[in-house]
Parts: sequence; C-alpha cells; structure tokens
Amino acid sequence: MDSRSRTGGRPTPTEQIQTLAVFATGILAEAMYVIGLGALCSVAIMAVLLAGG
Amino acid sequence: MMLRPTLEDHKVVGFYTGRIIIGVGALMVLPLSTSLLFAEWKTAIDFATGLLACLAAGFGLQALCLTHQELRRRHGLVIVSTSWVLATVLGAIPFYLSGYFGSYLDAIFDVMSGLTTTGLFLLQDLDHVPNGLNMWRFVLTFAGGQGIIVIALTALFKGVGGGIYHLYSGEGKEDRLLPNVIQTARTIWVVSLGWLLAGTAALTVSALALGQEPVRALLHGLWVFMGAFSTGGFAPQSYNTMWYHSLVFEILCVIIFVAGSLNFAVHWAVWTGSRAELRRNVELRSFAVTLGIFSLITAIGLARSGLYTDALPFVRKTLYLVLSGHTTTGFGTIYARSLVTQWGPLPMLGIIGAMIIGASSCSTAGGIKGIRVAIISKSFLQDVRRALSPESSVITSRYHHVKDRMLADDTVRTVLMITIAFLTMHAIITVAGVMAGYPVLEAGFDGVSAASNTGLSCGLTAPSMPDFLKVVYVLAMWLGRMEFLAVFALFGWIWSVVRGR
Repeated sequence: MDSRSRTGGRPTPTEQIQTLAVFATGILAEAMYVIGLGALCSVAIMAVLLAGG
Repeated sequence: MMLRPTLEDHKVVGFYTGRIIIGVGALMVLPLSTSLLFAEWKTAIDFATGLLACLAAGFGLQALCLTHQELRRRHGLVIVSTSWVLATVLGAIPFYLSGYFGSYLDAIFDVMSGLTTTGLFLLQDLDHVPNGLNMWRFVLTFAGGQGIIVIALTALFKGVGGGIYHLYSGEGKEDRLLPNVIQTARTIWVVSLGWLLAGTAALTVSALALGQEPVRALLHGLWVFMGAFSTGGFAPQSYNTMWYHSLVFEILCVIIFVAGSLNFAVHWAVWTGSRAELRRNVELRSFAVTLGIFSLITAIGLARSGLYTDALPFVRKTLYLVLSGHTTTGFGTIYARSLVTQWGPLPMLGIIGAMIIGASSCSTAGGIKGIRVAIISKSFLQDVRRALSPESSVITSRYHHVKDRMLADDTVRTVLMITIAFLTMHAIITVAGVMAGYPVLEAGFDGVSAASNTGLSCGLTAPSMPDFLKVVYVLAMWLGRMEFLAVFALFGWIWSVVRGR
C-alpha cells in the first residue's frame, strides 16, 4: 500500500496510522480465516470420533 | 545445444553470488549480537569467524569477478543455486565450531534444513545450546522462508537488468505482488515484519502467562514465531511445541503457521482491502478440500486405534499434526516415535499425503503446492467436459488466483512437469531410506518430510543415520525448495562448460 502523502513526500502521522490500521485489520482477517478453517475441520474430525472411525 | 558460458558470464555469476553472500554474512550480525548480549563469548567468536568468512568470500568474489555486464536470464537461476550452496557451506561454520554437531555434514544438514524451512535437525543437546546459536537457527529459517535472494533484492540490488526476475523466481516464487521485482521483495518483507510484530507479541504474552521470565518469554515468542511463520518447524526445545503443554500457545502457532503458508500475493490482496480473496482464491479452496480429506484419513486411523477417547485431545492432536504437515511446518505435539508406536500406518499415510501436497505457492511453504493441485483438477474436469460435449464446442476453464485467469495448456504442462518431478523425488528418497535399512513407512515419512520441506519426523532423522542418507536429504531439501529449475540450471551450466559449444 502506498502510504505516501497525496501531496508527495513523507506520509503524515495520520496517514501512517491509517496504513497501520489497514494492515492490522488484514492480519485479523487472516487470523479469523484460519480459525474458521480450523473450526470446520474440528467438526469433521469430531464426527469421525463419534462415528467410531 | 547449449552455449558454453564465456568468461564474462562466469564473472556475472560470481559477482552477484558474492553480493548475495555478503547479505548472508550480514545476517550473522544478529546471532553475534545475541551472543554478546548474553555474554556467550565462545559462541560470539564462532559467529565472528563465520561472518569474516562470508565477507571474505563475498567481497573476494566481487573483486575477482568485477564486471559491468548486465545480469541476464541465463545468469539468474545459476546465481540462485550457487548462492544457496555457498550460503549453506559458509552458514555451517558457526554451527560446526560450536561443538554441538557430530560432523561438518551434520552442520550443513541443519543449515540447509533451516534455509529451506524444513525443520529436521541433527543438532545435539538442543535444550542446552547458547542463545546465539539458537538465534542463528531461527534467523536461517526466517530468512530462508522469505528467501535469501529476496533479502538481497530488498537491500543490495538496484537496476541490474532483466535477469533480476529470474533471481526472484529461481527461489520458487513466481507471483509478483507489484510490477517491480524489487518492490515485490520489499513488500514480502513488509508482510513478514507486520506478522513478526503481531505474532511475537501474542506468543510472548502467552509464554509469560505460562510462567516464563520476561527475557525467556520474549526469546521463545520470537523464535517460535520465526519457526512458525516461515513454516520452518524449528523450536527452541527438543520436544518442539509439545514442551509448552498449552492449548492457547498451540492455537496461536496454528494461526501463525497457516498464515505463513499463505501466498504473499494473497496477504497483500487482503492487506490492501480485498478480503474476498480468502474466499475466492483457488489455491485456498484447494487447501481447504485437501485439508479436509487428510484430516479425515488421519482421524479415521486414530479413532480406530482407540488412542484418544476424549474429544478434546483427539481433535487437538489430529488437527495440529495434519495442519503442521499440510502447511509443511513440522511443529509437533507428540513424541516423534509415537507416530510409529501409537498412531500407526493410516494416520501416518494421512500426514504423508498432506506433506506431499503442501500449501501455497509464493509462500514460505514447500510441497507440490495447492495451486498445482487445483490446476491439475481443473484441467482434468475440463477434459471430461470436452469428452462429453459436441466436437465443435469450445471448452475453457477459468480460475481465480489474485485475479481471474484462463487455464492455458502451457500452464498445465509446466504444472504437471513439476508435480511429476516432486513425486519422483519422493519415490527416490523413500527407496534411499529403505536401502539404508529403515522400514518403508518410516523411510517414506521422513523422506517426504525432507523433500517437501516439512520437518516432521517419526524418529528416523538423527545424528546416527547413515551419511549417504544425510546427503540425500540435503539434496532433496534443496531441490524441493528451489522447485528443481534453478538446481537443474546449475547442473546445465556446469555441463555446458564441459560439453557446450
């Protein structure tokens, strides 16, 4: 993501915080994806145990 | 016919290899600083020696091969392979000098394992190694995950011609996150460092909650993060992540190593607002399907064995090991020999299957990769549709991988070629294990683990294993990480020196 100011030069503190916030939500979205995937698999694995293999 | 390389060609290869080796030497500053910080003077001297050797080799090569010729396509892949060989040999110096390895070959084994993010190790007495030495293990695996060429591209390369893309792709990465290769390399580091901050913080807090003192918790948080995100599988304790006995710690590890196994282009798409990529990407869909299949196979085998009767340990152990194998991480929460003595053949086969497939392309993970499985499946379905349609109809397939793409015959051919190469390598390495006297399932498990850069072991990989098998594993780790092309390019280069025109 281009975090440079629209007027050119170094990004302002506000723009830096905005960029960091976008990145942080990206990390959170990926973490939620992994948790969702793991939860789905856990249900399938549990079903196998209940069915006795 | 292959053209014999000219002296200028050799100079280009030598010059840029030297530059990359300087980068590898610069990495040794981290373990050297750690040793000094913890007053581990002998270890500090070992790393100072290694650093000097890298700088001498790097600057020596640059001085010897000084050239202004542009880096071209034919040089790129050879530079990658040569750099990995030199980085492994030189990176093993501090390991060997430490006295924790039985031979220089063992030290080379661990460096190759680290750089290729495999995670198998021959280091002895891991629980008592100095902090500096441990730091080098994790720096190797973290740097190897991003790629030593990516590191060099980030800091040491500027405007060196069209061959620079082949430096980048030679490490098994094909997707460009941005049009410019150097910007792509820097973006890979932005993603990795972003995760480094978040992941290390989470693991450190978890380690503190487990009762570790702050400095120890920070080191363990950092090291386990590096081992997880690079899908490397190195851990600071010999019992790997089982040592922590913590569900929260394991969940954090899973989040980090699955995230590490995602394509960097997917990371970048998600980080820049395209959350739908996680749902639409064909590689992630492929991963979800194969994860389901191998989880079920493993779970069926374990349920029949009656080893875990309670739901929580059953789900916890099964999911952790399958995900660790599928993402080619190699973290474990059971004793290595338990795979043979308690889990048995079917769960082992389930994990072998997961390791063979591996995770995403252009990530830190190894294996055949989900994108190739998806492309082969799509191609197979396309042929079935063709067979069932009128002869005049035009049948095409599309898939989504960061952007919508058309399935092309050339792509299928390349994918099949690499897949066959991987499967052949798995067969050869299994035969090598059997020839060394190990049972076929154990030879297959550790062999596939090495060749897919996973790092899970059923106990075969140990300092006492035959030297020839260690050499085979080192070669397999290298071939698997480079995805063959760069290694074969080096062999072709050497051949053309001898027989070219």
